Amino acid sequence: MPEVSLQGLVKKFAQGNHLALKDVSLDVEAGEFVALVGPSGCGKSTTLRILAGLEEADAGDILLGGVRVNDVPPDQRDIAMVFQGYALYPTMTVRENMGFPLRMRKVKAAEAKERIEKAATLLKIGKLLDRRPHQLSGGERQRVAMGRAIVRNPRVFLFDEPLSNLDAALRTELRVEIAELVRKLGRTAIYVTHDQAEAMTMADRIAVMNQGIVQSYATPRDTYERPATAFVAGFLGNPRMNLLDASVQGRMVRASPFAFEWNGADTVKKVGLRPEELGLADRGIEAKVIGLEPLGAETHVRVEANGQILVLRVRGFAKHRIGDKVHLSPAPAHFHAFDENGDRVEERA
Amino acid sequence: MMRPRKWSDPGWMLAPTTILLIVFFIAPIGIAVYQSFFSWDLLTPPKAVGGANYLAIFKSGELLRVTGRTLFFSAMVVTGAMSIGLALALLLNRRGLWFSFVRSAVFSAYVVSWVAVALLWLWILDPDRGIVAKGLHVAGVSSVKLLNHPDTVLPVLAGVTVWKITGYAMIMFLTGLQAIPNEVIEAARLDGAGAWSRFRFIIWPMLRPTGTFVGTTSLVISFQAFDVVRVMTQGGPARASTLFVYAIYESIFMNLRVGTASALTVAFFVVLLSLSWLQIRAWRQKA
Repeated sequence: MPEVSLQGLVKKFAQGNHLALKDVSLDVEAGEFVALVGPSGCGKSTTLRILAGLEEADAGDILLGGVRVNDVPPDQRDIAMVFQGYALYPTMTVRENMGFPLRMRKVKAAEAKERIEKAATLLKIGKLLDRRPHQLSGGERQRVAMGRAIVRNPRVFLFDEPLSNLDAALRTELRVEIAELVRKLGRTAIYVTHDQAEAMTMADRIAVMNQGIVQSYATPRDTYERPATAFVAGFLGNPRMNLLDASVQGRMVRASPFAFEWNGADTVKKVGLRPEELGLADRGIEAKVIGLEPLGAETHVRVEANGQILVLRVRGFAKHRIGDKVHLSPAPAHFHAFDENGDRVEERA
Repeated sequence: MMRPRKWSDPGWMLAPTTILLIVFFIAPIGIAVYQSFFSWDLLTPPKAVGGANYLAIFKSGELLRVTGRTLFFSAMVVTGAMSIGLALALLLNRRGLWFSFVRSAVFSAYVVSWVAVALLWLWILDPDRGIVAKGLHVAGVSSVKLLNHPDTVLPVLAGVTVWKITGYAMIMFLTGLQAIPNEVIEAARLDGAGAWSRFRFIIWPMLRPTGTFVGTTSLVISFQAFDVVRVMTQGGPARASTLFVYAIYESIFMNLRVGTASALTVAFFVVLLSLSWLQIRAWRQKA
């Protein structure tokens, strides 16, 4: 039985007939860390808020441990949430902030103290307990917000873009810590982010959402290597996958400037090639370098071939210059095919 | 630290405010203090009398009576305006045309002039033709003269003042409420705080600075009450509604005693200043 089960959630928003969630179903196993990713407005935060009980679904069911909780108020769902803006209580000290959920649940003072201190040690904020939120840095505030969630020892942790207000270095550091912490506590976690790096590194499974629908739900590796839809293919990966218009002609799929052998359905309308699946060679399809983005460890090379703009990834600094003629050599087995609806099409074995 | 290029630059920039402050606040207070040591009826030349004016208002009990009356009136106005203003702000702090209409309606009373408000209520409370009297008449209560009884006149005037300034308190509290991030309230909900706990532990502590401000301004407004008294009761019956500013007005323009009025003015200034100071201090300590 899944720990969290969302079944056919629909959410309309009051203004207009815009559907924030069209049909969201998702099962999360106990102890699993699931990332919800997608562009802004895809419904990921709404899904989380409905699960927390902060918003009501117009249709569909929310099950926690197999029990339907649609009508259970947020505080009785045994869910803790960490917000993007930390949502600390500004008039309370760190200790009072962390103790607030315990105080509301009438936990005895001695036990509360012990739980607060244990959580503070775990999060390395023991020295900050008597400060107020405005005296803390962004990273410290986020730790306190985590602490307030941990002391409750909830069944499920929800994270709503908890790191997006922090600088890049701190984000990388904290994402490792959060993932470790949640696994150490052995709790189920659902983590909303628009940062694909967070989703890839932290999650056991990634649910990619777009326009109120879960487009794919799989392990990070499967999501990356065998994206279920053209949208997922384009969303995960930096630089983005090259997506080319394609058509099947006999035993070939043609996607200008390429043509690949194809042994599958003739419904293919798009072909995707990851930048690292395209290489430069001495022979092959002619292309012109039109842009270079050296990043140190790798360089993103933008080329034009037959009117198509493609991005490819080379190691280190590229020896090419803008305007150079190059030759492309796609790795033949590594391309992704999608049909008219953007769904993945597999080759016959 | 930033330093001015020339020592005179900050002076020029502060000058307009300083001049206004001197002409309209500091100089009048100075003049009042000066005149409070004279006896003057606006017709014959002033005579220096030392502290006699102060001694007179103190000995006659006038100062104590007026201060007590005004404090009673202020206490009613401040608690009334603050509690009703806060309650309205909490009730009306939501989206929608209807709520926005009610908010504007409540606030509109604050925009209307004091004299118009006083006249309106005078008409409402008229013992013969007013709607209050008519309503009571239907209910079988005969002719209630709320403004003509020493026990009811101050609460009624306080009610009118509250009616007028509650919109202001409400807007201030609404601003304070809207500055509280939604996330914080949601976090409290998830933490298990019900509506009352959310108000008590989260919202009210965050509204405290607004509360201090509203409390102090409504104290000052209520202490300065004049128009309602002038229009509705002229200080009566039997001086029961002679509030501080009206007492000053009475002694200068009706009794032609500039010295006494000045002494009252100085006393008024001192009382109001210390009250505001006490109030701000009390709120800060609680925080």
